Amino acid sequence: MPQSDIYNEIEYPGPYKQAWLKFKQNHVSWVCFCIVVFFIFVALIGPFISPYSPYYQDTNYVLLPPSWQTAGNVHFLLGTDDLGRDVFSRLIHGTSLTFGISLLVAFGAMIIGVSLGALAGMSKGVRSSIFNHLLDAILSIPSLLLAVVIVAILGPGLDNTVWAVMLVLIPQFVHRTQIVIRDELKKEYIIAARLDGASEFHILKNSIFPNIIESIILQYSLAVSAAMLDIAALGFLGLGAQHGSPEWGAMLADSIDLIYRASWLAILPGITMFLCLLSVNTVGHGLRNALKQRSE
Amino acid sequence: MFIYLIRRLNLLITTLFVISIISFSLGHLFPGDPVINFSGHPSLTYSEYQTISQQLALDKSYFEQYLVYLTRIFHGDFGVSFGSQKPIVDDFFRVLPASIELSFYALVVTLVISLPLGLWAGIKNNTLIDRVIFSIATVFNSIPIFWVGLLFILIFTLNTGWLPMSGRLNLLYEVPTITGFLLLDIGLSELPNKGYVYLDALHHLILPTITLAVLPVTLVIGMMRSSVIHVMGLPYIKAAQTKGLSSWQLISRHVFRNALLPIIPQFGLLFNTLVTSTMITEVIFSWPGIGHWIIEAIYQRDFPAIQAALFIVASMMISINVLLEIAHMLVNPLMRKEFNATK
Amino acid sequence: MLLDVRNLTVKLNSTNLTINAIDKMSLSMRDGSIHGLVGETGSGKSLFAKALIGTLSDKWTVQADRMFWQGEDLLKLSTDKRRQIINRDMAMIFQEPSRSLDPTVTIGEQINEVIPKSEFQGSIFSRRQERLQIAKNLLIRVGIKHYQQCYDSYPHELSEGLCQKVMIAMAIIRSPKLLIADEPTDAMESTTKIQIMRLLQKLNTQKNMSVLLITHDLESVINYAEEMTLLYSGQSVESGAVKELLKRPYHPYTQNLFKSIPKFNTDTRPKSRLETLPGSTPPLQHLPIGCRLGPRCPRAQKECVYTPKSVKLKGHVFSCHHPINLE
Repeated sequence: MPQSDIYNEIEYPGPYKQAWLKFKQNHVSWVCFCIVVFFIFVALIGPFISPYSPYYQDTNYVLLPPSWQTAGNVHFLLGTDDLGRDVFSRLIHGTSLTFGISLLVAFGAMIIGVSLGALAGMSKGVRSSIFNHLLDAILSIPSLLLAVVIVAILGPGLDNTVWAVMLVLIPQFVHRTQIVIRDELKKEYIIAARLDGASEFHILKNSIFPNIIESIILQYSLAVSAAMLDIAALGFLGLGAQHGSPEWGAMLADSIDLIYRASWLAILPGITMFLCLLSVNTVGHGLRNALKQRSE
Repeated sequence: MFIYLIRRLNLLITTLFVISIISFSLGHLFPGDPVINFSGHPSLTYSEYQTISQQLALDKSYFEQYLVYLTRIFHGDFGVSFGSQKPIVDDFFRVLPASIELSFYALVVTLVISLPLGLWAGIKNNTLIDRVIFSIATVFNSIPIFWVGLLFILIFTLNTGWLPMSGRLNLLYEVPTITGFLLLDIGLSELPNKGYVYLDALHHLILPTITLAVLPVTLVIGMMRSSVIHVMGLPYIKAAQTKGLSSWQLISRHVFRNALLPIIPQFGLLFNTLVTSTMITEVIFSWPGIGHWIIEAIYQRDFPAIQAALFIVASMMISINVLLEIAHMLVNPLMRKEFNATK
Repeated sequence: MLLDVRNLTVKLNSTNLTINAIDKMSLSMRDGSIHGLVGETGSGKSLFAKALIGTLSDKWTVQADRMFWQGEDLLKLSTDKRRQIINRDMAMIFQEPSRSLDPTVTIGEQINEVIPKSEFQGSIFSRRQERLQIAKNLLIRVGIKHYQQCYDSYPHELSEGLCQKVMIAMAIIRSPKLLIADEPTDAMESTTKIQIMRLLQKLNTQKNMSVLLITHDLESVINYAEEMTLLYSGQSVESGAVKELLKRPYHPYTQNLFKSIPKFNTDTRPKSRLETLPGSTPPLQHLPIGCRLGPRCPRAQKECVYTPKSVKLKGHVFSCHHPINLE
């Protein structure tokens, strides 16, 4: 039998697997990925495992420092706040509120934004031009200002923040999707498919979408961290989650008055949020690097 | 070139038009009576209500209302603020210089720090230096800005007492407002102890400026670094190496220029971040600027002020973006090539 | 001898394996000659040029028994000293010249910055004028008629041929002893190609500048070069004077390569195939051991799993266990 396939033993992994392998090679991103998974886990089941209710006030233990300090108490691992609420439990609940909601908000924005972006990217002429002007106008408004204005219309509160942040994120997804679709449309394989008589929808579904899904995932990781920052910023400014809520931004805002007496109230939620943002951002960087290395 | 400018101008006007529609619709979207929201007078008698309603054409169709609104903002009339009962434009331009001053210093700090660092990291790609710079940038990029502000206050004000916590100037000093830019005003004023006042003003500036600059610095480092890495891999840099240029010549003449040019349009994004950060920074440090003013307006449900702020800030952003694009067009010959190709 | 390279090996260090992209290649050049370096795509021609001029990235390591430049071993010198010699004596032009010029700087400025200080005679105040004059002379010398227009242009406003002329102008400004031309006429129209080749030839005869012509285009080598070296998968196959090689190749690969040139005078049947070796060049990850031509060579025998030593015969060097035309 003639051996046409001499290099049979070498297996070339598919594009997704290749990206995944590259991603795993980078230890830092891999660790951060594990941290993100951990945060997702906490956001999902955290409320069921937290030692206390986030609103339970133990008046015997007010402003208790974290347990590693001499005045601390092991029953309240990370100390208590001015109303005697357990900081550890509040942080766990805050994970679901800040991080969990960010994931959902970014996901919703992604679904809507990508669909609109696909429509805009595939359309031509006047329709696309009108759409572009609208998009330019909205994108030129600083995101926090837009969110603040939407909150002003809807009224403060965490549920309204969710809508505001989602509305802010959608244009960014539309913009990104539109750009990558435009880039992809210029390539020859699309022309080849078009010459074969493929319909627009067919091209979008079978040719373009598999090639842009990675950029969209990348944009998703950016959107999650932007959503977290916006939700927490609104909470911090007192326009989102209200005082007393275990949302991280609101917790930070509550801590301002006590910052001199109880610095852990300002430091702990900040560190948690920082860790979460850092992991999400690093995973995003790792993903981008993996995709870049794969194309080399 | 002329056609290009016309096209940009067209884009500018259309986008401003869209912004004005959004801003107009806010008047109806905000809770409360549109008449009150548009005019800014919270308590009106019945007859006043009727006259204003007629003035603003609020009893007519939306289209006519919009036209009246457009003429008003054309004349700079955004109504009066609920809170101060003074024209919003006056209020706005009273607080604007403080914000511009702060943002300007932050921008200078940003460019001075981040461009060289980004260039350095990009040239030394995949070395220890690059990794250190990039990791630090990533870390700072992930710190929420309001937390940075709090930490700074905790460390430099409360624990060490080195720097003041809020405001632009110690209450002891009374500087008359001439331009609104504090450092200029001090120079123009006739105070006896100018040196001390300057020192105090600078002390007040340090923390807000650094807080505000953190995020833009990391952003620009990232942009510059990836741009430099891209340029370093291009054939003409390799070719220039064989032409006997020293590495300093190579970097200063070819790499820096070619890496900087394509990121100029992205600076629009930078201004966007800057405004967002300014809003939070001003609240934390009680800096009497636009961000502080807008947040105050929201607390007080001062709808005319929010409406005007949205319009003015967005218009400023759009103008900056268009100006950046035109500047980019002027300095980058490659852009002219694309433009000539599509003409 | 101008350049004498013996057993040059260039290794690619990737994460899990090292590959000898160039394996014990030798090349020597006489003063003032045009030397053709011929090989298929991926045979390591450009790599050799980069190794010689020292612009390889850290991923590559260069080893050689010797790399003599006018009697001085370049590999034994410190990096700075080596850079200095290379900058003084060698220059290089590339394929796709328009991509080898900085797109954001005018041609004039780019020429100006490579003018060495020693070229100026007048005082520092007349520098501007002098620069302009030198640049214009250069442009005229490489055959650009509208020099003023060219001087003020950006690279993207010029054609590939003009860009290559500008590259040559910038290369000859330091009067190098060796000009390395890495596929200088790749993807150019045939008239432009001839112009560039004539220009190189003229510089060679008039200024006694040696040219190392790296190309896969056998015809231009046969037309313009005096000597040539053949490269296959990073191993040198055969080298010698072009005429000798044409008349009497010793290596089977050489013979086959010459046969693959289409001839218009002989009575080739219409639509007949040109003669080629079976198979294709091996990819870098799957290089055969020993003589890399082995699996494709019609005369391969079991010795061919060892790398053949180079044999010198009548000024004609080849590396093969079973040479042809030697009976």
